[in-house]
Amino acid sequence: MFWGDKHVDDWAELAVDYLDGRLDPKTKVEVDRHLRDCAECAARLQAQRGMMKLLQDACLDDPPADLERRVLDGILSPSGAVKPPVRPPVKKPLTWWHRGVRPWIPATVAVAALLMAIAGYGLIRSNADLSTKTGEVAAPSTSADQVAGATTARGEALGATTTAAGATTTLVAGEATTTSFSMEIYAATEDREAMITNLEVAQAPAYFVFQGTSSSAPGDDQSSGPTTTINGQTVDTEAANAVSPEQAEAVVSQIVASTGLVPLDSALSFGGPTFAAYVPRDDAVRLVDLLQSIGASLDLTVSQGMEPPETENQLAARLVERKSEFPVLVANRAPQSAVADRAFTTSTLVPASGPTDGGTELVPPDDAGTHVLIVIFVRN
Amino acid sequence: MSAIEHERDADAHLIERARGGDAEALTELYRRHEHRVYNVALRTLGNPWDAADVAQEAFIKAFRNLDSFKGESRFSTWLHRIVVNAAYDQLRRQRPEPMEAEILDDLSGPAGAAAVVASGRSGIDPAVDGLSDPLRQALMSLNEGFRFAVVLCDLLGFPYGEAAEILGVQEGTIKSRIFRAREALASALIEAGYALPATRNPEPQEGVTPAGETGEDA
Repeated sequence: MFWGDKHVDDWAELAVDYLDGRLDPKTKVEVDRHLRDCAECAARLQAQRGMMKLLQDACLDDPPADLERRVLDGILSPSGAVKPPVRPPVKKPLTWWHRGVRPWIPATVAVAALLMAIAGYGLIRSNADLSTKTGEVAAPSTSADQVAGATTARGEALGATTTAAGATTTLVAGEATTTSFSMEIYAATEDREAMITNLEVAQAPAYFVFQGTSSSAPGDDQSSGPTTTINGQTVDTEAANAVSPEQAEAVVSQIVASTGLVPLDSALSFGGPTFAAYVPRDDAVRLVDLLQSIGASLDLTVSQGMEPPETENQLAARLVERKSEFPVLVANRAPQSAVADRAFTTSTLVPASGPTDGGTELVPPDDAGTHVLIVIFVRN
Repeated sequence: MSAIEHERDADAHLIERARGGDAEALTELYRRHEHRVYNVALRTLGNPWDAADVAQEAFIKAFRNLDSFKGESRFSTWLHRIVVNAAYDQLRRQRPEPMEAEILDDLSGPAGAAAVVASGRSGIDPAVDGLSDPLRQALMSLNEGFRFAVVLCDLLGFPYGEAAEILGVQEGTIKSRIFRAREALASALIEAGYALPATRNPEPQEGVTPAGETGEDA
C-alpha cells in the first residue's frame, strides 16, 4: 500500500476520513492493519477521537441579547439601502460609551495638548504659516502650560499647541463666517456605535460636524483648568449650538495636531473650518473616538450625517470633485510611549504619507471600497 | 428534498423578501444564523466583546450587500466567509484599542496589546461560557489557520467542503489542519493536566456522525 509504514503525519487527511467512518472499505482495511502494527499511530488516533468528542460536545454560547438590535439598527441606519429612520438629536454627548467605558482621553485641553505635542510636533513645525501665528501668541497663553508643562519637557511644541487651543488668531475661520444652515435638515446621529457602523459601510462621503451643546455647564469639574477657561469665556455667552471662535480654533488645532490634516480653503468650507480626508474603514472606531474626544474636551457635540447639509449641496459637489487631493489618514496603532505611563492608552490618526500642504498628488482610494471619504467641519 | 436543500430554500426565500426591504425577513434571516455566526467569532477571537463586534459587523455587511449574493454558494457559506474575514481583520488589528484597554483596566489593571487577549480571556466567567477555560486557552494558542478550521468543522459542524470554501483553501488542507489542530489541542490539554474523554472504541464507529453533517442552526 502506498502509505506503507509511514506514520499518520503522512496520511492525516485519510485519518480524518477514517475517524469519520468515511473511508472506502479497501482503504479502511489498510488503515486498520497499520494501526494494529503501530502503537504510536493507534494512540494518536485515539487522542483524535477524544478531542473530537470534546469539541463536538461543547456547548454553543448564546449571542449577547443586544446583538440583534445592534445589527438591525445598523441595517436601518442612514447609509443603508433600507429607508433610514431619522434619529432624534441627542443633547449631551455623554451616552456614547455604551459599555460603561469612559472617553479615552480625559476631557481636558491639557491632555489634548499633550497628545498634540506628541502627534503634531513635527507637523506643526513643518507648517510655517501655522507655527508663526501660534508663536506670536504663545506668551499670553498660560493656563494649559501649567498642566502640560508638568507632564513633559517638550516646551516648544506645547507652546504651540496650548496657544492654538486658547488663542483668538484665526487660521481659516475668518474667511467663512457667514454661511449658516439648519441642522434639522441634516439627518445626524450622535451615537458612537452608529457613527462607527456608518463609517464602516458608507458608500459616499460621511460628514462630521462640531456644534455647541445647549447646556451651559462646563464639561468637567476637576483638573480641567484649560477647558473651563475656554468654557468660561464662551459657553455662558454663546447661543445654543453655536461654536465660539475660540472653540473653533481649538477644534482646528486639535485636528491639525492629531491628524496632520490642514483645513480646506474657504471655497470648499462648510460654514466654518472644514477638513476632508480618506480613512480606512478599519480606522472608523479610531476616528470617531478621536473626534468625540476633541468634542468632549471642548464641551462640543459631534454629529455625523451621511448627507451634506442641504444648503451646502453645491459646496459638497465641489468638494467631491476635488477628492483626489485629499490625504489618507491611517491610525498609528501603537500606544504613544510618552503617555504609556499615564492612565490611558491612546493612538492617533496620521496622514499615510506624511504632512501635506495644500494640494497633494495622492491617488484617492476607492471610496466605495476600503476607504471612506470623511468631511469634518465646525459649525460657527 | 434533503435537509440542506430545504435550508437553502428557506434562506433564498428570506433573502428575496429582505431585498425587497422586508424587515421581518431580515430579522428571521438574522435569527437563523446568529448562533453559528456569533460562535465562530467567539471561538476564533477568544473573547465575547470582539466576537459581538465582529458578528455585528459581518451581519451588517452581509445584509447591506444581499444584492451581491448570487446564490452560487449556500447563503451560510457566503455569510461565514464575511464573518471569517471580519474575524481575521480583527485579529490583524489586535491593537491596544482604547475601549478594550479601558475594559481591561476594570479587569486587571493597565495593559498592552498582548494583555488584551490574555486577560480578556481569563476575565471571562466560565459559568457564562460554553467552553472550559483550558480548552478555550488551548484553542487560542493555535495558529489562526488551524484554529479557524477546527472551530468551523469540529465545534460548529460545518462540512469540510463548506469550511474549505469559507476559508478559501482546499478540502484536503482543511482535513490536515483539523488533524493537526486536534493533536495540538489534545497535547495542550494533557499538558495542563486534563484527561481527554474516553472513547473506548479503537475501531472506527459505524454510527459516528461525520463532523460535517449536523446541519444548520435550529
